[in-house]
Amino acid sequence: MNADPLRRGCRFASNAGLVGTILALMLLTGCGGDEQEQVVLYSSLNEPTARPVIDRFEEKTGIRVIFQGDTERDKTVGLVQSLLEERHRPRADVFWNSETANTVRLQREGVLARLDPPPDSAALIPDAYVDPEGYWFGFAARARVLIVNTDLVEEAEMPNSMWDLTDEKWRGKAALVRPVTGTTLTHMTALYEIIGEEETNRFIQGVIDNECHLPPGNGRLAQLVGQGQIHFGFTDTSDFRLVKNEGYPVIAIYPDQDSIGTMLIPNTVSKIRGGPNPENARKLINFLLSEEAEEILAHHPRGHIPLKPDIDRPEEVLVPGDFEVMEVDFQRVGEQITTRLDQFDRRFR
Amino acid sequence: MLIVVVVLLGLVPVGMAMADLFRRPAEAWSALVDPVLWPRIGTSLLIALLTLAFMLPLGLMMAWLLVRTNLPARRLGMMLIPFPLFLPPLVHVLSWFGVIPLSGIPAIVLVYVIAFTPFVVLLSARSLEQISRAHAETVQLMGGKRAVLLDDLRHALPAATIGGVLALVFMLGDFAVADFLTSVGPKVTVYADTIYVHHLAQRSGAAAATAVPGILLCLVPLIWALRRRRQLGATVDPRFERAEPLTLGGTRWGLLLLIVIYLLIGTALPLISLAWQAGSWTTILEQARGASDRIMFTVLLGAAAATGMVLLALPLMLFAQRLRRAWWLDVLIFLPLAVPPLILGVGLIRVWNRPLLDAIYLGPGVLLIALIGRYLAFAALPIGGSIERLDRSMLDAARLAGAGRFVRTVRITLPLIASTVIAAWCISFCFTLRELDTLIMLRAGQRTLPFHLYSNVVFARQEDVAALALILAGVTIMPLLLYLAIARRAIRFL
Repeated sequence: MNADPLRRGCRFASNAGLVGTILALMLLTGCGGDEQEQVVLYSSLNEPTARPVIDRFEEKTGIRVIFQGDTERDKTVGLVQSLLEERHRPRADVFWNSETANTVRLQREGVLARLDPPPDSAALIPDAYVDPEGYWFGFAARARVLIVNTDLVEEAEMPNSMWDLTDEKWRGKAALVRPVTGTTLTHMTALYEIIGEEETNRFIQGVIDNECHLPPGNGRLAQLVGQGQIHFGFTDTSDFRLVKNEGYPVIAIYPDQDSIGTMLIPNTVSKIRGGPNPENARKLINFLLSEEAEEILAHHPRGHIPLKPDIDRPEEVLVPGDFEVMEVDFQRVGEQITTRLDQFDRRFR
Repeated sequence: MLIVVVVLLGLVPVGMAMADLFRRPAEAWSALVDPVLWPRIGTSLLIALLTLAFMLPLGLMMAWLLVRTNLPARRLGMMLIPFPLFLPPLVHVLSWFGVIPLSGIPAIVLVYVIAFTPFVVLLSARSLEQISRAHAETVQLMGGKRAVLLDDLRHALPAATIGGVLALVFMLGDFAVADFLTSVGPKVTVYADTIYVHHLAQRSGAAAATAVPGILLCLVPLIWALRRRRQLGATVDPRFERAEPLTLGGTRWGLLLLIVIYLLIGTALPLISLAWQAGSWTTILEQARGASDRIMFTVLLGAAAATGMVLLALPLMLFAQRLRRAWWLDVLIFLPLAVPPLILGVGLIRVWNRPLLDAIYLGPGVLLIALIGRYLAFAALPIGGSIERLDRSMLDAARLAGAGRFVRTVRITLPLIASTVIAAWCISFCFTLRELDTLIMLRAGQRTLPFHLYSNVVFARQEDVAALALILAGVTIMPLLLYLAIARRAIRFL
C-alpha cells in the first residue's frame, strides 16, 4: 500500500510515456488494417527513378508496391545490410539493384531464390545479362562513359579511352569515383577480367600518379565536370544525362571503341528467398523485365539503355550496336568484388 | 525498471550487433591489426583535434563573453547560439560549398567548427552561470582578474569537454563531409570509411571491431568530464546569487562582432544560400506540398521520440540523484550515441525482426525505439544537470514539513526544472531530425524527410534539393524558435 512515492512517480511517468507512445504510434501508422495485395521491393535505385515503373505496375495489377530504397550518400550499404540481417526472416520479396556486384554477393550468401522457370518476359534478354542458374536477370543498363566539359576541352583533344585518365597532359584534370562502391567498383573489377591483372594495376597506378580527383559518386562527378571544376571523368550515362538536361556544356564519349569496348552495367532484379509474397514477387519481376518497363526507363530523364531489341527510346539513348560493348562475365566479377574492394580501398587512400 | 527500459532501447541492439566481435574473432582481430585502420583513425583524430583546437577556445570564449561579461545583447546572443548546431553538417556543406573555394582538411575542420561549436558554448555557459557572486568576488580579491579568468576556465572546462566529446561522436561517425569536401583535390579517407568498407564487404565482425576504438575514444574523455562535472556541480550554494558581469570596456563591440560573424556564417549564410539556390518561393512551396506527408510523419515521429526521451530521462535522472556514482548511468545512456549508426541499425534488426513484433518492426515503432535509444543522452544531460543544481534547502524544508518524494517531485522539482524539460524536448526533437543512417535500414525510415532529401541529392534539380534542405532546416529549428518566442530565454543544455 505504502509504495515509495518516487516509484509511484516513476510508474506514473512510465505509464504516461506508454500511453503517449501508443497514441503517437496510432497517429503515425494511421487507422485500420490494410487488406490490399502487396509486394515488398528493396531497391538501390533512388525512388524518383523507380517510381514511374512502380506506378505502372500498381496501375496494371492492383498490387501495392512497398518500396524500400537507398540514398547516394549511403551507397546501398544500408539496403544490402538489411537484406543480409533479415535473411533468417525475410521481409522483402524482390531486390532491384542498380548494378550486378551486390546481387551476385547476395546470391552467394544465400539471400536470393532461383526463379525456375524463368519469367516469361526474360526470354529476349541477351545471355550475358542473365544468371545461367536463374538467380538474377539484367535489364535497363547504363554505359560507363567519359563525361567531358566542352568549354574546357578542345574537340581535337577529346579523350576517347580509359587510358586518357593516366595521360600526363590531363594531370590533375580528370576524375574517377573512388572505386569502393557502385558501378565504378564493378567497372574496375571487370577490368581485371578483361585486360588482366598487370594492365589493370598499371591503369590504377596511372590514375593515382596522374592525380585524378576522386569524387564520392558518379552523380557528383558529373556535376563537377558540368560546373567546370574537372575537365572529364568516368561516369554512368544516367548521371551524364541528368547534367546534360540541366544545360551544362558536356558530352558523353563511349570509350575504347577500337579495343575493349565500353562497359555496360545492367540493373538486376532477383527474388528474395522466403519472401512474404512469392506470387506477387514473380509478377513484379515479370513486369520489371518486360518491354514496357524498359521503355519507361528509357524515356526517363536518366535514359536507361534497353537490353531487349526494338524498344522505343529517345534517339540520344544509344543501345548496344550503336557502340561496341565490353564483354563481361558478371558472375565472375561478382565473385571477385570483395577482394578487389579491399585492394582499391588500400590503394585509393 | 527504468534501467531495464534504457537497456532494452539502446543497449540490447548495440550488444546484439557488437556480439559479432566474439562470433567472428579472427575477422575482428585482423580488422584491428589491419595497417589501414590506424592511419585513418589518425586522420580522423587529426581532424577532430584540429576542430577541438579551434572549437574549444572559440566556444569557451563565446560562452564566457555571453555569461560572465557585460557584452551588449548577450541575452539575445545566447538565444541564437544553438542554431548552427541544428543544421546537419552536410546542409552546411551543401549550402556554402562552392561559395568558398576551400577543400581538404581545412574545409572539413571549418565545417565541423561551425556546426559543433554550440555544443561547447551551451554546455560551458551552463557551468559559468553557476558561479556565485560570493565565489567570484573572493577569487577576484585573492588573485585579481587573471585568477577570475582561470577559475572560470576551471569551472567551464569539464562541461566544455562534454561538448567536445559530443562533437567527437558526430565527427568520428561521419564520412560524408570528408568525402564531399575532398571531391576535388587530394582525397581524405577517414576512420568511418573503414567501418563503411567492412559493412560493404559484409564483414560484420570486422565492422564491430573497428567501431571499438571510436567508442573508447569517446567514452574515456566523457567519463572524465562527467565525473569532474558532478564534483563541481555538487556544491550549490542555497543562497545562490549569480556573479556580477565583468566589465569589458571598449573592446566589447569588437567581441560582439565576433559572435555576430559566427552566427552569420553558422546560420544566416547557409539559410540565405539555400534560399538563393532554391530560387523562388514557388519552388519551396512546391517541394513542401510534394513532401507534405513526409513532413507530417517526420514532425510526428520527432515529437513522439522527443516526448519519449523526456518522459524517460526525467525519472531516470531523479533516480540518478540517489546514486553515489551516477556517472556510469550517463555512460550507459551515452553509449548508443557513440556506436556507429549502421551497427545500431544491424542490432535493431536483430532484436525486432521477430514473430509477433511485426507491428513494431515494420512500422514507426522501431524508429521511435531507435531514436529514443540513440539520442536519450540529449534529454538526460540537461534534465540531469538541472536536477543536480536544484536548491536543496527547499526540498529539505518540504521533506521536514512531511511532503513525500512524489509530492516534492511534482510540486517543487518539476516546476523548477520545467523550462529545462521543454528545452530538452526541443534539443531531442532537433537531433531526431538529423538521423538518417540508422533509420535508412528500417522500412518506416523511408517515410522521413531526411531520407527524402538525401535520396534527391544529385538526382533531383539543384533548386529542388536546396528547397528541401531549407524545409528540413525550417522544420528542425521550428520548436527552438517557438521555445525562444514563448520562454524568452536561452536553452539550457546541462
